[in-house]
Amino acid sequence: MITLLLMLTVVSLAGCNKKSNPAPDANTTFPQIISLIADHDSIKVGGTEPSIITCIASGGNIIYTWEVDLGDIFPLNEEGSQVRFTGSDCCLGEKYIKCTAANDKGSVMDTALIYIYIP
Amino acid sequence: MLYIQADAQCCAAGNPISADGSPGGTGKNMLEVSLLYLHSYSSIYYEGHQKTDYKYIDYSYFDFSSLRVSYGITKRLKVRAEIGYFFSKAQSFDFGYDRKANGFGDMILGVQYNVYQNTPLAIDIFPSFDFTLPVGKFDQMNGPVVLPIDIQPSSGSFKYNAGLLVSKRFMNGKFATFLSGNAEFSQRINTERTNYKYGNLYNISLYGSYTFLRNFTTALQVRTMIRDRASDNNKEKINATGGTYLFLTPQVRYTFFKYWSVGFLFEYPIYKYVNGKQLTNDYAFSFRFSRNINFAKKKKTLFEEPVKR
Repeated sequence: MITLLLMLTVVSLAGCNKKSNPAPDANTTFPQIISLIADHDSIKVGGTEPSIITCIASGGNIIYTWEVDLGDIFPLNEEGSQVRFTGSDCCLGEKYIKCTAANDKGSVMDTALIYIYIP
Repeated sequence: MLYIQADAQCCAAGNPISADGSPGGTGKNMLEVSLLYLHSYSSIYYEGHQKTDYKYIDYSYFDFSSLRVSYGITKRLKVRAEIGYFFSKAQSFDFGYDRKANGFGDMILGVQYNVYQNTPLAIDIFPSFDFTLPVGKFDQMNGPVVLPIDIQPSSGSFKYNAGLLVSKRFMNGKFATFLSGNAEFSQRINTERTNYKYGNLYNISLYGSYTFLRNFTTALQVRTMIRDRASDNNKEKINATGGTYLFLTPQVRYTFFKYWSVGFLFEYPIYKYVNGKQLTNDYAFSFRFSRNINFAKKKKTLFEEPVKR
């Protein structure tokens, strides 16, 4: 029982990695996504022909976050505003790639629709 | 008893199967603590039951460890708890990109009961139930990108596993055969970020073990693993998921100082059938280090002390 409690404590502590809230920046405004553009809105299954997706947001000090239900996204620049998207056979059909732009004033989200097909 | 299962699945999130279906550690007030290290490597794509030259992920591997405790509440009833940790869970892509994750996986709480015991025939039957809690990391990122479900350390899903183990011993327990089966059902992950359901998982194992030179035990296991297709956010089956695998697993275990043991197993897939095209496992191996503590013995000693005076 002691070991079990110890295990639960370790897991709880691991989940308590709180991020500190930065002080509000007078130079920033609530973020807005100006554009979310994919160079291909349909791509072949596999890794050779990706869709390059670029998210441009205003507001200052923007932190970009990307996610998709099924498929593979890799960042292309340090800022995190541009990514490449591909999918294997697991991920055929319509995929919604979500870009979130956030700063100390808040966050905003937009999605790009990419279709993955078997040629 | 040997530990009997190591999961060779290449890319399912959450703890690999490391549950000990054997009745090892059974006994009232007997505590078993064991530490597992498991390495799994995958690099071969299959389409149906045939190898294919297709490449998307070049290779994938994970290094996993788990701490498990099991305790005999009564002579027949054993409870267990396990927590997993991925030191590394990595994928290297054919088009030049890599990604990694690490952290706590899932926690498993289980119970096993010796429902039937025939001492003259040396036959035992143990039904079991395990409950998986996704306590670990499910939000790891690669820079600005949230990693996909298959590389997250935690499965993100509550899982229910029902199993049955039948054992028959021969030659005063030197030789033993086991038949075990279990079925695992995953709850749909339904969060703001993810809507996904893992396919049901079924395992059937047949194995024999032989103890020699008092402290050495060897075993050979044949395991069939069947996984149903997963389903996506539209609750539609995902074609390139699930399949049927047959594994051959030789194992060896050495017991020392009466209560300590160390075991090694190597798992090799001898047959694979996958739906669509999928990355499949090349091999997996694991080490397990165990210690049994007999609390019943200690209690008896304390009780008897005044009598000795």
